[in-house]
Amino acid sequence: MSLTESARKLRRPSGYVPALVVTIAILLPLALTSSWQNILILTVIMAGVATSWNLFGGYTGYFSLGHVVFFGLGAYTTTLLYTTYGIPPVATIVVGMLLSVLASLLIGKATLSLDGHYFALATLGSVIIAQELFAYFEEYTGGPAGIQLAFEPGVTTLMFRNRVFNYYIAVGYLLGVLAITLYIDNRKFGYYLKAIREDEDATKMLGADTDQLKIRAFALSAALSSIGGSLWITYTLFIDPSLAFDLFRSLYFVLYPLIGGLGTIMGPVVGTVLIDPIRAIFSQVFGGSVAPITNMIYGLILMVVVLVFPEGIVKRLRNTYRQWIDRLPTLGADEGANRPSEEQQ
Amino acid sequence: MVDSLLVSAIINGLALGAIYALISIGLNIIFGVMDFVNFAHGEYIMLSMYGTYFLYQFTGVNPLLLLVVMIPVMFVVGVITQRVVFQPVLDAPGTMQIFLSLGLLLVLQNAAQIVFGVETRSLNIPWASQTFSVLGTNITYPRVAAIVLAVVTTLALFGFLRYTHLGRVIRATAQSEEGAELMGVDSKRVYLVTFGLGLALVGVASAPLTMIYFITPTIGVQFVLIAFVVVVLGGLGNLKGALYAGFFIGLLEAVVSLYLSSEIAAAIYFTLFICVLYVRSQYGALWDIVSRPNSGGVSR
Repeated sequence: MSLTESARKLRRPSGYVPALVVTIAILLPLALTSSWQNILILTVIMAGVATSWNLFGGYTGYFSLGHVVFFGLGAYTTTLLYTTYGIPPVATIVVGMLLSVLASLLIGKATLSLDGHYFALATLGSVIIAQELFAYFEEYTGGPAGIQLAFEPGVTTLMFRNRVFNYYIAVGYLLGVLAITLYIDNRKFGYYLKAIREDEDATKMLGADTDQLKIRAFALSAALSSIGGSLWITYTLFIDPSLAFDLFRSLYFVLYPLIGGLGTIMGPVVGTVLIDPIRAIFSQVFGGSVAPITNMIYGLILMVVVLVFPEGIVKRLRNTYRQWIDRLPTLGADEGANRPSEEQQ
Repeated sequence: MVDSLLVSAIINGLALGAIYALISIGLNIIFGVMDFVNFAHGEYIMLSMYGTYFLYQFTGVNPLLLLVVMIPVMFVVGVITQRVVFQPVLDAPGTMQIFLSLGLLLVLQNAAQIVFGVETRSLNIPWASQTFSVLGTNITYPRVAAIVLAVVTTLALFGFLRYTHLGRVIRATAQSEEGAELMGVDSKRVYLVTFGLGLALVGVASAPLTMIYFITPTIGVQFVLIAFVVVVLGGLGNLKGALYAGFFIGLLEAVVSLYLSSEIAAAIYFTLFICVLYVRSQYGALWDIVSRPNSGGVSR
């Protein structure tokens, strides 16, 4: 794509609206207090993992309730390599990804041949196994008492005095996962995954090696989730088995894409950004522990979404968004091509 | 010379197993007939524990006698839940039902935290902590009650499904909803009864549960996870299987906790759980032969 062509694309509403959103996302934290920045950072990391989950779960229709295993593995790998051997967290991300891929091959081999709710149950079981194993082998993992990471600011440790940098790294992670999703969405691989969701037997019959495809998608999704875990721990700096392998976090990885729209590119991000900050905002506004109220609200939202619009927000609002965007003017001269012209207003 | 620690672990394990069996059979009958996984099952266990707790606080009646109230109440709660929450998604894909029950789990658990507070409660009944001696170890009465209740209830349920008209209708619907409807069965109504029955079994478990465990709003998840394991080990829809598997998991937990730790026990049975699921998916036909020698269940 030439430079002039991309410039022309940016002048159209379908180009500059997303660009504007990204720009706002980049400038936003500069205008916020640090407690709001905190909410933003955690939300963006969450959105990254939810998007990673969607890459497998949303596209293939296999609802993994166990993605927090890979998130936790990433977080623990970073923690243990950093605190025991002093390896800078930046380098540990790759190790975490490799371990998560290994774990995903193991879990995937055992569970990916199960259908529907059995797969969900089995992956849920893997979360408990991980939690209990990490609690049991105390001498290696620190056990239930947990580990506090030493705060040493620096680029290689991914720890910063100014939270804005954590935010930018998280945004980079999210954009990376989105880019991978976008890339896959238009390739043969992505079509195969969607075909598996629609009808796995038919896909298999047409010659696709569905077992291989599923396990590849699962491993990719696991590796990306693991990055989220590493980033999360370099920001929050405290880990224990029930935090790292939190069952409810695992549910959120599923809940947000479901609310936003399964198997859509932006669905998980929309879902996360709308829902995830509720908890933090509530506790900021009302103070104290509001976890029960927010979790109850999450549950109600989940039930309403399933009962009223199971296709998710993104698919529901996609046409409205397109109509709205068509009314926006094209910027500058555009040689008359694709000009929305008089329709605007 | 019998190792008295081991003996007491085994007896505790049997009592645990009895409770696991009761709640799992409740989950399993819903699963077997309606073919969906109710993640919120544990929350009903938690609610039934609070129910028994408050009834005891107000009346001072023996929790075992309170079963006369708790069982019908849980049945009605089940019927209402099925009618209001799950009936609208009967025809939706199974995964939607999973999400719906996950949503229900979040709502019930957190509503309980708001209403009952996070503090741990326990029933303080003098005779419940009295012990009697068998083989040199001390056993409390609630544990004996749990074992007796589990066996009696399973036999009663089994008889009900096998020999009554309603039982036959339920089994027919489990085998084929369409076939049963063609014979004039109103499957929606059968589902209402089944869900009620599943929760009535939770009601049965509520008495020993409340006497043995501390009561917290978050206790449900722990039980529902174990119930999943038991249901899968015993065979989906297989009620006798769930009884045996319940006792097996209870014993495993008690003995492994004695020698290693309770964490490793959980890791072991969840690994077993995934292995069983895997074997079942890979060698399904063989598994069916091994796990269903006689028609011990509601489904298939």
